[in-house]
Amino acid sequence: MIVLGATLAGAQDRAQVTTVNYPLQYFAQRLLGDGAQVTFPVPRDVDPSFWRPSIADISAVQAADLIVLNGAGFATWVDRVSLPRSKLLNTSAAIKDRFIVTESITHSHGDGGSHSHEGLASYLWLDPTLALAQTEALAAAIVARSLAPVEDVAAQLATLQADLEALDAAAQSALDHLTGVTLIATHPRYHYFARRYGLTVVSMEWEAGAMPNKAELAQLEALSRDTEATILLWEAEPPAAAFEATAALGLRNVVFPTLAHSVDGGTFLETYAGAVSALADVAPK
Amino acid sequence: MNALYLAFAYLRYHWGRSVILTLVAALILFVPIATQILLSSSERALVARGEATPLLLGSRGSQLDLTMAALYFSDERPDPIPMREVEAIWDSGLAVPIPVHTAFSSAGFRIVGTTLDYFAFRNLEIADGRGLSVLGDAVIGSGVAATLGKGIGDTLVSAPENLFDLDGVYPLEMPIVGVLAPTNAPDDQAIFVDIKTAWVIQGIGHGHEDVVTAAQIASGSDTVANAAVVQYQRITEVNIGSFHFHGSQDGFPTSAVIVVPNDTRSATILKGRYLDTEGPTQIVEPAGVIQGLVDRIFRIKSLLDVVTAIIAIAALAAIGLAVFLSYRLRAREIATAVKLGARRGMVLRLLSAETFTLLLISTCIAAAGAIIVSRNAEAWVGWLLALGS
Amino acid sequence: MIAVQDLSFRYSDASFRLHVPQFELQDRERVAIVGPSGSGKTTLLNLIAGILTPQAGRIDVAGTDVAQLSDVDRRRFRASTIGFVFQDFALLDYLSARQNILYPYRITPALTLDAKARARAEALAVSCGIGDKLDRHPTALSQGEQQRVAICRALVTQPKLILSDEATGNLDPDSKSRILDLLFEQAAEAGAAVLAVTHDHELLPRFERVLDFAQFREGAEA
Repeated sequence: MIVLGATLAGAQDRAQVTTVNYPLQYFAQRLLGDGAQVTFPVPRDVDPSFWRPSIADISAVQAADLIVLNGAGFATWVDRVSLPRSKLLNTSAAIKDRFIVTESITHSHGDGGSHSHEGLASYLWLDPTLALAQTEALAAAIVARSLAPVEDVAAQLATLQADLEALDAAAQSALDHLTGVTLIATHPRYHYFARRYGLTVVSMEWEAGAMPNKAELAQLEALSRDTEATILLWEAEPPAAAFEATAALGLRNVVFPTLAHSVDGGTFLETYAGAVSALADVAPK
Repeated sequence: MNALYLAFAYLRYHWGRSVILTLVAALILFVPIATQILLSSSERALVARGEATPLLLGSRGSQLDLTMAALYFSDERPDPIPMREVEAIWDSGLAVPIPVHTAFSSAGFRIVGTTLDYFAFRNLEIADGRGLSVLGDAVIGSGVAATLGKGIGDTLVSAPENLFDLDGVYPLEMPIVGVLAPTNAPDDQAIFVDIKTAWVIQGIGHGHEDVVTAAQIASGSDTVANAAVVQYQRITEVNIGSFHFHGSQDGFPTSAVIVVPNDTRSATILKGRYLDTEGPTQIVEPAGVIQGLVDRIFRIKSLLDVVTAIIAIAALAAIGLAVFLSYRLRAREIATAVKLGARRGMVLRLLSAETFTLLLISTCIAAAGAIIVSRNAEAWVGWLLALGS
Repeated sequence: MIAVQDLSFRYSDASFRLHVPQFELQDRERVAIVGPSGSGKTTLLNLIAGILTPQAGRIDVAGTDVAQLSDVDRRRFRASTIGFVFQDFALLDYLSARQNILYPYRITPALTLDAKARARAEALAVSCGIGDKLDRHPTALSQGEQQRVAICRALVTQPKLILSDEATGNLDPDSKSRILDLLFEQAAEAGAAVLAVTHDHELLPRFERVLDFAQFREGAEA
């Protein structure tokens, strides 16, 4: 009985943290270590931006000690479910002035006339300096809720931030020669990445990891002609035939994971660094 | 024993008179006791609710209205304050703010838009079903469930309101997903929704359903025969993805904010921040406001006591007169009794026995009433307090 | 049963005075008292019953000098020794016939209401012909029936003496005769003497003796 009780107490004592994307899960796990269970509940095959949680998913999220949000319009499902405000953390509340506003969407309904929605680019973590700001908010929230000892969190934060700074420095030097070069992306995910490293990225709306159809290929051909772009960024690896089709248009393919989900075989830092060097490699010297 | 027998026989024979006298006497005994029980229960309930709510933030204006709206979900509608006030308190790190949006109602019960923190703060437990999960979900108090005879799987439709003069706002149909365990507090008489759902009712958030509007129906440009005509909004699995909010959440309204400070020091600092009488918001201590109300009630109660005393004296005089008259009518009986050798003091004995019997029955009735009242006082007081809304 | 000697009585307002030099009533004797209104017939009954006390003289009832008893003892004596029958029956509306008969037991500690008393009440009612009406209230009984109840009440305590104050005065001629028969019959059965004030001269022959009261009257002029 005593052993069982202790086990139960141990399981309950362990802080439960849930996040809306993989980078935040990675950051939280780094800061909390084994003292907490950090979950990211979105299935691998679902885009976390458009996840529709089931009631059971929502219950699990509600039960967490800390619910880590990305902000900047990422994961709109949080607007449609009930979450305990006291457990919520918006990691980008302090960096709103650094958000990138995208195109407006105008629509109308009912008698209310038309109105527009301002779009926000939401993949903040592709700019390591913004990710760094998110880790700070996360560390502060962990400490405020006493989910881990202050000194431990401070130490972990220092290492994590050093890692992010190193990642940023490495990307900066690796991509230095890409300034002024135009890239084409299969999906509009790279706003913060492009801004951070002075890149020009024009985006299409292809389905991630799928074979492009003829119209999409025609759009790509026109776009590469107009922009003289020679590099195509893919969120995820498509069928080989897709690479062949785009290569035939004179484009060099680079898979640059957006990291909303983790990529097999690598941590956030490893995957990001790998993607940066892959991009640097294909860039014209 | 014989005197009691005769008294009882007399009372039974003149049952009409006896019933009236008994009831009058029972009422005279019962009314002050019942008032006292109900008032002290009300006081306890009111004060308990006040004391359980450390601070309340709302628009400047009547503190009582603000307290009644946020604690008892009354009809008062204090001017809304923007959600940035809630964020400001979060940012201060001094307290947990819990917004309470009470502008709407359904089937006569107030719809309380709040966050999940409210349920934890009030220790509200789900007796049946689940808690709020998805936009549109409603969790109802036990009193609402009992009165409306509704439960899990039923729906509620918000009452149409023209509070904010918004065009194109349809009542919202909300599924009941949970019923709370009874608490004998105003929470039993409320319909809880996520504050975001309240904003949908208000028209701040909406979906892009193909709604046929009232205007279109009126102008005949659309066929009313269409089965798809929507007279109210409904959030479904199909359309929930299209629900969104316009503008920054910081500007969205809430009727009041329950503020739970981390400690006394935090409370003092927070109170200091809202002292400016020119500011649009104020922070009040519900316990103090309620105590003021209770004091007022008890001043009225002392007046009531005087009235009761006067009525009691008048009624006792009437009873005395009735008894006296009945003895006049019984002079003959008394003369007979004397001739038959009745003992001394026989008249007095008969009078006492009769009065005693009357009072005994009256006391039993009054006591039964008082027991019923005190057994149900909590529930009735909860209902009475909610009735104010 | 009764021996009155040199009795004199006056009410405090002094307008009336009664003097009875001598009067006797034997055991089981039935005597009628006649006389004009206001001659003191009822007053004599009240004196004998101990309801009034004389200024002078001696009233001996069943061997007890009533005038010498204390108030409490007089009441006890009256309750246990004398049965009263009144002209107006003096029944209580709120009690059933049975309870009216048992009424004397309810108002004095001198009598104990036991099973014997109840049986007696029942038997009396049956022999008076109202055995089936015992649960009725007086308002549901005829005048004759009411007086029968009153007679039962007077006899239920097994008194040695029945004082009847115009017991037949309110009844029709047929009933008068029957009630008087009944009264005599029951008194005889109980072994009680009857002293009856009456105005009904046609009934006088049924008494053993008639006492004309005019002889005792001392005028208001005195």
